[in-house]
Amino acid sequence: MSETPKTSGSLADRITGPAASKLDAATTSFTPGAANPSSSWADEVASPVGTESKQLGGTVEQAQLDGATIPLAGSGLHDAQYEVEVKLSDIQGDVNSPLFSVSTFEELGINKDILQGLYSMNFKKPSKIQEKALPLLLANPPANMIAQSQSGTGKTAAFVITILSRLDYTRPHQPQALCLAPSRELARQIEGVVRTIGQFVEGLTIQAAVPGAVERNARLQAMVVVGTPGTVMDLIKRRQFDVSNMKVMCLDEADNMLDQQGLGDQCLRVKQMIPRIDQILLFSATFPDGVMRYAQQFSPSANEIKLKRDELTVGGIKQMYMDCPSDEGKYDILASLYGLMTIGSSIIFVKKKDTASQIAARLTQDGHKVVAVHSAFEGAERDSIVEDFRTGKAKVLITTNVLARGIDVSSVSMVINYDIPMKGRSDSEPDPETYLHRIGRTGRFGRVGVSISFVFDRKSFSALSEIAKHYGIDLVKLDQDDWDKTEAIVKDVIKSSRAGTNLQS
Amino acid sequence: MSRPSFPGGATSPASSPNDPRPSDDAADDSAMAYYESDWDERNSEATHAAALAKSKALHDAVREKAVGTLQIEMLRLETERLRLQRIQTAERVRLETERAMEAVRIREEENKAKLIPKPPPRVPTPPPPKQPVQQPTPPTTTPAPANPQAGESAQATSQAPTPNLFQPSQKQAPQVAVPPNSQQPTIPLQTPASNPLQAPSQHQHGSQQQNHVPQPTQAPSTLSTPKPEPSSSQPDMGKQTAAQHQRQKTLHPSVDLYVDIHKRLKMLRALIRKYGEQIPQFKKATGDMRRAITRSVGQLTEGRDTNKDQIRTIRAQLDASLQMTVPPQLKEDLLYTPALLMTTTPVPSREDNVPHNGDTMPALTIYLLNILAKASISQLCSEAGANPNAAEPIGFVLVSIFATPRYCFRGAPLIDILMAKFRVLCPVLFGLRGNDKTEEGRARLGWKKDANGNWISEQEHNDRMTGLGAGFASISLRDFSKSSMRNPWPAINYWYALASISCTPPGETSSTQFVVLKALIDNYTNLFVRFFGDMGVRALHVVLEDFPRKAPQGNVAASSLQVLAAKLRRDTGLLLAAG
Repeated sequence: MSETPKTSGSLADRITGPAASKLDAATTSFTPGAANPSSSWADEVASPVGTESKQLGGTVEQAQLDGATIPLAGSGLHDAQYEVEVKLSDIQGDVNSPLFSVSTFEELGINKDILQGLYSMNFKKPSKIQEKALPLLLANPPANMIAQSQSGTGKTAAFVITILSRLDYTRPHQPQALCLAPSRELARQIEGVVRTIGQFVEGLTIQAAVPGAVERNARLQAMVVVGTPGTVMDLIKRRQFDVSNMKVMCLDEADNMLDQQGLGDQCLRVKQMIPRIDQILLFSATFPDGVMRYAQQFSPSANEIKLKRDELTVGGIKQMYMDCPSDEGKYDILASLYGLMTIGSSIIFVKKKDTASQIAARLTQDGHKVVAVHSAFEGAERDSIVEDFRTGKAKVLITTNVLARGIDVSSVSMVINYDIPMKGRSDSEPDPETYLHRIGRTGRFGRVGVSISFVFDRKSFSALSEIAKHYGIDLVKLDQDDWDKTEAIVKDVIKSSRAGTNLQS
Repeated sequence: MSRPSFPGGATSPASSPNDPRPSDDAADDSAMAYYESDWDERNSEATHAAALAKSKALHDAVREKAVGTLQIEMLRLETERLRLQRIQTAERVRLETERAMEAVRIREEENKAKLIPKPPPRVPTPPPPKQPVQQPTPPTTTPAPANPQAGESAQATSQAPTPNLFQPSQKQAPQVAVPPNSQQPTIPLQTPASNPLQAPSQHQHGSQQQNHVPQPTQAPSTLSTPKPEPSSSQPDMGKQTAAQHQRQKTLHPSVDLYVDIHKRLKMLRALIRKYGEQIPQFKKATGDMRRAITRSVGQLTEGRDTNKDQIRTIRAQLDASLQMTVPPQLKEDLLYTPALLMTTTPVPSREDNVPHNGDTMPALTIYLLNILAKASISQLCSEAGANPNAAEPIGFVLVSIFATPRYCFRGAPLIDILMAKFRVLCPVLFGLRGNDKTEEGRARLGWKKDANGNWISEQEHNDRMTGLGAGFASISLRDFSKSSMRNPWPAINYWYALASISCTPPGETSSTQFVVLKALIDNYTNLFVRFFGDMGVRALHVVLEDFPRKAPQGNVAASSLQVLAAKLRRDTGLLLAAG
């Protein structure tokens, strides 16, 4: 099963094998009470199972306790009828899942007020990245960290918990933590996450530093500042932002920021302007090799958590493609997709702004509430559009690559690559990173999501095939001739495998 | 005994080896006398024969007597056992009668209390809750009848057809006992009707007998219980009936019917699919209608009047199905009896212009109502699981469609189609319990399995339960006070759901319950308190403060329920802790 295969194997047998557990119960039910357990069980309990019980963790630990009553005391506490323990099939108990974890938030030593915030967000157990990273992040003295984890596995919550744990709450007007994100939407989103997780933390102050959000000559007076690199740089230069007491600095979508010429420079400048930082954190779902070296300079002697390339895709996202007759024919097919399955919110990625507007008009006509976001919109307008989508006032978002990364709307259940993501000079090569970030807008935290990519000619088809090869995934083909058949295929694909596991494992 | 002194000792006992010992001795004594009187004849064959015959007769007599005594003793024991059994039955019947009468009395008083101010004309609501015993029932939903007895009889008639159609086995003693007692709120003594029925029973306890009016009606129900166990002791019997009552209290009475309805709906879908395979146009038409409904349900958003187009589209499909020209060869087959999909069959309405007042409705309309329910449930599971706010418009649309008279049967909404799905997917709402760490428990809790037969993940399960809980709340807490339509699923059902979850004994709680409860309450406290007032606040106290304490230490789902209480305190200033 995992790092301790021996013990966990035998335990699993005992717990899961219906016959075995029944036998255990039958043979030991005559021992007078729990004081005389069978020897093998006692051995296991007495052996160094700190790791083992920890590995199963959390609510599963109660499963163990429940399990213990059966072999130890027969059916003492429960009805006379035996109920067979469930196999640990839940994603957080599956070691291959990125959401697997061994511990509870309580065990990670998180402040009680922060815990309340997590519970109110319906977080029940830490994910793998949280469970691995948080002990390192919260350790003293503070250490730098470069962390990679699949989309929708709780990276943001991990660094937000870290930030909230590092703050000195006696100085509510002194900026102490800075968080940088590549787009204003993402910065706003992180701001929202800090507010939600910190909703029960008394005295927490937070401010966004995105274009248009801070008045000229007004000083930033919040403990946590979340912003985009350019605006933050300007604010520091103009002495509106006091960086003398910075405890934590965090870059979300770090590879994207460090990779881009302008953003990378700005990040570096911001860092150089801050006299002293205790802890520098870099988070992303992707870290191409070239960026990794730069990241290691940016965040020196950092703890690193990395993923292999074939671990990057999330199994909960069902990836399909639609063979369209022509570029224009994609409209009709798009409109028809919405009756095929249960769709919460959906995001449609397009290449050009005018395609976005055309699709928006068409879908609105069909009764959808549609919003479109691209670089033609500015500042506060973009904020409110994305906010409408986030709250569910609008359920279809049409956008260009500006929102490919990081945006987390949990109810998004379908992502459409209306155009296959391309990069390089005159869009000559496929862009697997962007593809991964795009489809990662759905399937958040172990939910099931669908991604459908539209291809219509040789170029788009071979680009998609290359992306599929890059990540080693199989794409399911959909047919536009018989919608009843397509409906059945989609249903099967959605049901096919559990969410949360990697396709490879 | 001086056995060696007998000359014939060696043969005499051997001749009757089967005789019991005591009679052996008696035979010896009489033979001795005989020998003494006629010494010479002592070894003749006649003497031996006579002696043997005599002793055999004696043996037989003694044996017969012993057997007789034994039989008498066994008869005595049997009568004693029967007597005890009768006493137990009598006692139980007395208790149940009293309980039923108490319920009747309380309801009559409630009705009286309601009659004093002449109530304004009310929206007609479905027949009152079918459990006379359930006390937390606030009186808001019972229609105020002209006089209490009329109310009783109306209820009785409305319930009467149900068992015949669907549940021949489910005869609950309290229900049967109610009508005769309703005439007399005090303890009924000898009623003439009961005596003839009583006659065939035994005649030992005449004094008690008179008090046990419903005994004959009780008798068949005792017989029909799965385990009669005639020899069980009194406390056991008591426990058993107590357990039965416990079950009846916690479960919605029609809970099991929903499972049947769910199966019938599956059959209906299979039927429509079969016709579609026969007639391609029919397949295309139904497929288009189905997809139009699914898409419309997916398009629903929050906000006032934002969903008009979607509702219009859904209604358009349903209306089309009502008027659809059916292929002639299917004309007969495409009529369906909606009563099969209802927990209680409504009587045909006497008012004019009630649509579908006959026995059937177009099967396609019911199929589409089922598709609407199915699409909505699926939307709740996926979308509202991630974002519970999304449940609000779905509940609104569902209730307004199901309340629409032209989609009703004999004026009664077909909402049981929807509830059957809730019952199967989220049994917790209907008071079912299970341990979410065991296979059987998960099955009881509605924990889904994926295509490979594995349980879906805890996260997915919690999402589904959250969505379904929020959806149930959104459906139940609808305000119909300004509507002329009949509320298909009044708020009392929400109370039942809260009550049946929070009455779970400490050992039987499950995380699923806490998750469902949180979804039921989060975002819906305003509406709930508006419907139930102070009692609602008190109920919230029980649910948010008391109930989570029944959870095992460190249950995260229970903790998040407690966080909900803290959030209420912070956001609305509602204090639950003082109680």
